[in-house]
Amino acid sequence: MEGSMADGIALALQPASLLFGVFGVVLGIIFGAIPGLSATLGIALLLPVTLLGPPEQGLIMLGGVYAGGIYGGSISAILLNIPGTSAAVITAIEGNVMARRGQAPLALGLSATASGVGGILSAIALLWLSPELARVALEFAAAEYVALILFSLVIVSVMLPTPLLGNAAGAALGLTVALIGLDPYDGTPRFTFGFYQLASGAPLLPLLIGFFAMPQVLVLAIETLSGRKVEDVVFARSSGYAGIVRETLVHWATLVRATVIGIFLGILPAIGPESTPITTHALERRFARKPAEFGKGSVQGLIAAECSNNANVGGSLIPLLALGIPGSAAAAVFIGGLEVHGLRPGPLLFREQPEVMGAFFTGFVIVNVLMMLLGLFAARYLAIVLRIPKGVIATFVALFALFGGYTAGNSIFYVWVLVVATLASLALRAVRIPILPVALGFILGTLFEEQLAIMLTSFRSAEAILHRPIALTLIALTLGVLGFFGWRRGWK
Amino acid sequence: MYRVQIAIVAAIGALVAVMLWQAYSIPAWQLLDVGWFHYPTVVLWVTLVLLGAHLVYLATAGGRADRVEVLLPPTPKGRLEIAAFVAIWVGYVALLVPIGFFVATTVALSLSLWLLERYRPWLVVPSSALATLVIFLLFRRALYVGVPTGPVDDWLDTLIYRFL
Repeated sequence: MEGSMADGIALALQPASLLFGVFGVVLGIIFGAIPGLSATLGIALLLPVTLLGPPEQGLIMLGGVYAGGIYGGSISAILLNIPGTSAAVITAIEGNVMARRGQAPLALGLSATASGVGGILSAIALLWLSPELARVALEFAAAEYVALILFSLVIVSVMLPTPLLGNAAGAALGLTVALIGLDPYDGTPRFTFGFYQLASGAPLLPLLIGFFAMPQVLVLAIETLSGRKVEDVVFARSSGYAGIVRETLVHWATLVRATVIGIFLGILPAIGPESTPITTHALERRFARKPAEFGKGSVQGLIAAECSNNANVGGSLIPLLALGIPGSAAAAVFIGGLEVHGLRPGPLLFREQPEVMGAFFTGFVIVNVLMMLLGLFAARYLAIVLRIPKGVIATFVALFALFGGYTAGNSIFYVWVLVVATLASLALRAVRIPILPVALGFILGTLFEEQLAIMLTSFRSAEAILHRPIALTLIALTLGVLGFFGWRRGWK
Repeated sequence: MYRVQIAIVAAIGALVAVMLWQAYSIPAWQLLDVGWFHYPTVVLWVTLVLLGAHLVYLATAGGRADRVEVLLPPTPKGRLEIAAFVAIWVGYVALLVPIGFFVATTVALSLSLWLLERYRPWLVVPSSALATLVIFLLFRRALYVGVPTGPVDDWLDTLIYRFL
């Protein structure tokens, strides 16, 4: 297995792979920098583009979009006090104060180095932990998968800040959408409502674009029509790179803590890069010698936030690749990048396509290095995109999103599915049912049904579960998490 | 807004109920001895129960006290404009196959840009046509994505293959 994964290193170093990586990082930073666009949206829009080359090149590009998108949010956060993505909320607090003090280049540089360090270390963790986790997961039988999927759905339901029942209803709705298609037992089409195109199941790509990309287009359009204009971008003169390197080295302990927390929270489903910096920032304050500076342009606070959100990116890909369970919304959309190439995320991926995995891991380290270099040397030039009118962005994103749906099957039917998914996403948002559990339930639904059927067939009695210690532990964890967080939230 | 929320949850619940009715009506399933556990019916029942519980939560004081995330703009004019924006793109999807990519995209881009940014028509129409042409070339020559074609697209295709 290691030998074949090593073959992937050569694939990742091919000029075409590097070009895909550069394209992904640049586009990701641009998407992250523009308020209203996000890494999730960028990945969703670029899913059809991955078909242009072999899977490893497409995956490297998506990895670049993901990492670049999370970092890019810091550019507008620092320069305009408008977080480009919700992962940059803390950066807006700390970084913008620094920018107003005339330290914009320092803040941008620290953001780039901290994001780069977090991203590179999480890429190494991804490289090291994913195959190990996949090796353990190869021992999994149906009972373990059922328990793991239940655990993931419960974690998502209890961790999101929206009402508990709404989150659970969202996960159940996702499982419901996954029912559409052929019955795995008898091959009967079910819940297709007369559309033969749905016999093979609800299409993943249009649904993901409809869930995550098109609602953002509407948000952008509303912001444009409300007359919210982007402020002019003002740069201060650069104070050189020595200060950036010095501050980064001085805060090495912060970087280590933020990376570990970021990776750990990334592995857990539902805790994406959006909420990670808030946790890390609050924790780092306890370690700080001058906690009073936090919230007032603290270098330590900025480094902790930026390092942890990019560390979360690699972390969220670990359960996705090893177990097929995404750790964030962007990771959920990332599954589309694997599935359009006929790859199914999970432990078998490492056995069947080790060179693709090896190439992706190597490529992911490279894109994080590229992201850091681009951030250090080109952030001020990339920030020019902040001057593009939002109406223009909304118009072109709408066009490309609709065509992303069209390419799923070269049929207008898939665009209509996308439109319906968009309406459903907006309707669910209005009733406070978040879209992430719906997407997760939909993605895991088919696997859950298959594994549940195998488990029920192979288990002659309920006592059989007692002979599966991993499944039993996961069930106990699920009940514990549900009980603890449910009690803490007052079941609301 | 509160009534709209109730209506949305009720509509989703009704759709799930229809699926549940379908689940019990499919003859092949009725023939199978599935016992008490039949995965689709269990999932649909769980969904219905959770939606019902969420509806109760929304209807209670606790649910109402929550800040409702509303996407609509605050003014009637803003709502009309956003409805027009949605109509442009839904209309685009509806007209794409009958009139072809080039014309449909040029019209949709022009209308959307005019609506959102109030660019002058003499500027926005040729710019949109040019952008559409670039995207058309990108799809046909670089990405090899098939697009719905009309008379203008066929003519453009002929031109492309003659000169490129």
